[in-house]
Amino acid sequence: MAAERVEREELSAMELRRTIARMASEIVERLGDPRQLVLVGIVTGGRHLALRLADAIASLEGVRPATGYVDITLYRDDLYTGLEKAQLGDTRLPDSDLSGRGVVLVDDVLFTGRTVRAALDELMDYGRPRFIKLVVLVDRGHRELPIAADVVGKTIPTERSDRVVVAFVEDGSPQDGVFVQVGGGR
Amino acid sequence: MKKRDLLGLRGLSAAELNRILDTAARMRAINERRIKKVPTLRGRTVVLAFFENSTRTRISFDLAARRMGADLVNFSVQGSSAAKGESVLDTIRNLDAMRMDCLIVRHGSSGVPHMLARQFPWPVINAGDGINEHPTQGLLDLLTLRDHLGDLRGRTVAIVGDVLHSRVARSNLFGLRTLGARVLVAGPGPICPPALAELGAEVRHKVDDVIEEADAVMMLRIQRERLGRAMISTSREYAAFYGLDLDRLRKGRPELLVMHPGPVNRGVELAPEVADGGRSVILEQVTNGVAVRMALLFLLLGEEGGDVAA
Amino acid sequence: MWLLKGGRVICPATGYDAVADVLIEGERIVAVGPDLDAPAAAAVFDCAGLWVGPGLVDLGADLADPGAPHREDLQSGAEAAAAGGYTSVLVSPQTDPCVDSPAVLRDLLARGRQVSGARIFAAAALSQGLQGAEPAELGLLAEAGAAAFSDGLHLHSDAEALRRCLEYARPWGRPVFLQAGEATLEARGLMHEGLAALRLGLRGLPVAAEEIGLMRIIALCALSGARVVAGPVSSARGLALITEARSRGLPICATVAARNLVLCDEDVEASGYDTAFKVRPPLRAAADRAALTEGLRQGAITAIVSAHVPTGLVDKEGDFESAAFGAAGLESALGAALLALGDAPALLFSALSTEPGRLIGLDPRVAPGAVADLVLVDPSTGLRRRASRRSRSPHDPLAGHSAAGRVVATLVGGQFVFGPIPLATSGSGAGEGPRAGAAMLR
Repeated sequence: MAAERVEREELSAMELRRTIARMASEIVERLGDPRQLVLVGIVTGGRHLALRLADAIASLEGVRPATGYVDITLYRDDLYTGLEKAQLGDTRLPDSDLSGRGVVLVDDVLFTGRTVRAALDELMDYGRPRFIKLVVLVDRGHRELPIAADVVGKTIPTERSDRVVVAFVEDGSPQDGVFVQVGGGR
Repeated sequence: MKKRDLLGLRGLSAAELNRILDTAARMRAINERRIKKVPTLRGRTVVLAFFENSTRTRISFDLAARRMGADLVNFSVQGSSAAKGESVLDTIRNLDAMRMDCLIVRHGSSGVPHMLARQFPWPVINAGDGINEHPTQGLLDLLTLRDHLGDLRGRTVAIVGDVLHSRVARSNLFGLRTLGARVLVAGPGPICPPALAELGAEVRHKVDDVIEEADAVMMLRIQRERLGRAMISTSREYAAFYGLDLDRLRKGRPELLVMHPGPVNRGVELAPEVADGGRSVILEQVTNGVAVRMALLFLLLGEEGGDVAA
Repeated sequence: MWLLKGGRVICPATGYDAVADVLIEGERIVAVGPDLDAPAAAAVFDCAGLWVGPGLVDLGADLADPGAPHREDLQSGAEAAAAGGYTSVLVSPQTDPCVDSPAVLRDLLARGRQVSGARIFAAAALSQGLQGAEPAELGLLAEAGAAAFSDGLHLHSDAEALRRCLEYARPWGRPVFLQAGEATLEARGLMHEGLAALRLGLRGLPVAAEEIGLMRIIALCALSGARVVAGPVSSARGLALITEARSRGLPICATVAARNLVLCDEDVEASGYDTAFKVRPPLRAAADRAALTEGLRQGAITAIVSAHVPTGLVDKEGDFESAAFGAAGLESALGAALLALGDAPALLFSALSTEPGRLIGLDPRVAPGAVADLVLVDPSTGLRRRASRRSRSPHDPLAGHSAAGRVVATLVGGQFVFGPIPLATSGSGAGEGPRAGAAMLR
């Protein structure tokens, strides 16, 4: 029988925007001059978030950091385990050499930590950044690797079987928001 | 689990072709950065078995496998036990006994990759079989064409030379027709016969007959050693009617692309000024070759995901 | 003593075609007719639903003996023939050593008498060493028992020499079997030159090669007056040439390989470079296949042959180009012929038995007084062919192809050489065939 699908709103559109604004100021406060930073979103969830953060930083400081995005398909540890069809996405960085840059890795949801691990390995193949800091909108727990975020939008306790959905209008959603689908999947 | 191979472009759908080309386009980024390597195929063993001589294709595959992070076994027939008469099947069985994950094979007889694909459980990539197909060359040519011309539907590509016996020409012909392009072929009578119309080409004769309508022209290397007797006349005669020099190039469109699978017989099928000139995309073809081969390894070695049909 | 009861007896030689019994005593048929009174001593074999026809006669099977036991030998070949319904096989002289001396011929025939299975007849070399230059010792070979002359698969390029060989052979009266082809056109070809070969990227064997070869054979047949058997023919164009030659009254007839009646170049393509399909003559286009069947019906083609050229496992293990030409055919020929001619059993037996037999001096018939060389056929359709089991060669492009019937049993000289030996239902004298004890399969 169909499992009961309960959907719980964690952040409304307004709360999401405020959270992003607060994250932006935290980034500036802790990491300094935005001109020295590169915000790199992890495809797909972190891509739009990185752009929004860059916009937010721009309205705070009058200066917009460089942005880019990475597709981690080639670095995943679960690529050939039959979970998904092997589909390669785009990676675009402002520079093919990140040596000496301060990288802010951005993702929407931090869960097991494996995605971030893959992104770290990939970024290392683009040179030797000065540092890599991790910024996430949602930390939902259940880490399988020793990875922690430097800036978190909201911590949401979840069950493993829950599904966290981050909706941005840029990806076609009717409105912004963060939801938890209880028992909804991975 | 059903394994997939890449034995030829004949029979691949437009969707499958585009998927490979899209993936290859993305692979190019890796070849432009400092660390030209990803860990995706770490621990996998890829075997290059070349029973026929080739330098550039072998190097291209070699680089592709290494850049995808795989371990490579590089085998060519010179000085190997195959030269002593060990059969192809025995040679591959011996390699397989050392446990491999993928075979890339080139052989002078048509159908060898197909035979091996039937016998062994891992993916087989055809690096050129006899006079049948050279699908990775076809793919890199398609990618190069797509980069410059965009959607290939309705575009006109001319292939000039020994089309009948050229596996490069055949793979291109199959791929271009599937993607909706118009293909004109030209060359001396015995090696560019009317029968090629059965494969979807429009058969002409001399370069002059195709140069004005083409968006791109692909010149084939004239291989005297492969031809046997009496198929073409002298090199001078060939260059006069079937070669591409500057004068002829000017009769074509201003944006006409000039392609060649290499190596070029300079002064025979291509004048040096054309080979090195502004319309030539020969070196881009080589660059795209590594990316295409990386893309294929990525797509074929997936258990669930490899979706490229034989 | 056997009573073959209630089968449909088909004998092209006499024109007999009716449900009848056949009474066999010793080596010969003693009576044919409906509801015969069987002597008490006769063992009864129920043939209801079966065809009873003259045993098949094959021309030109390569049994590779002496010389290549990994491919075939007389015993395995004779057994394979019997399994295919053949009671007589004319073997090719293209052995190692070839049959161009009376000593080799006598040895071959003597060993042939020792094997169990089909009877072994031999074609001797037309030219010394099968080289097409000098005639072999045709007189001595004829006296030693040669039933025909042939140079096997060799293609004669020296027309003058071939003319002399034919003229030399003519007075001895034996038919001369000649292969139709042209060596330079066929030098690198692997399959029929056509659309399938073009798609597969395989060099072709053009029909023109068969035409040129046949024109040469026909012209020299006319010039020399020798009795010539050409083929196997594989193309509509080749068939047209034969038809024209026969209409002029030339002493020439043509054969066709059973597999060419069923398979065509599209089957080669569908097989995905399966080397079992690399055969000579090649499997040509569907239109050629249709023309060949029609040629049989019209009488332009005289005999169906098995084109049995067995290849060892190693010979075809590699790629299509380097694989040897040839395939087994003795066990699958009848099934293929039934697919093409199953609606005309009299014509079928004529092409598989009566006519090829007559060419080599036999008189296959199901009639009182005749030698009891018979085949029992179950003409049911929808059967799946089993692969060759008695030939040493595992390669047969017809393996796995649907058949339109099967051989139930084969008798040579009144003895079962293939098939189930029925339990005796009356009297003693149950068969002493080589496979005693099997219960009757019905």
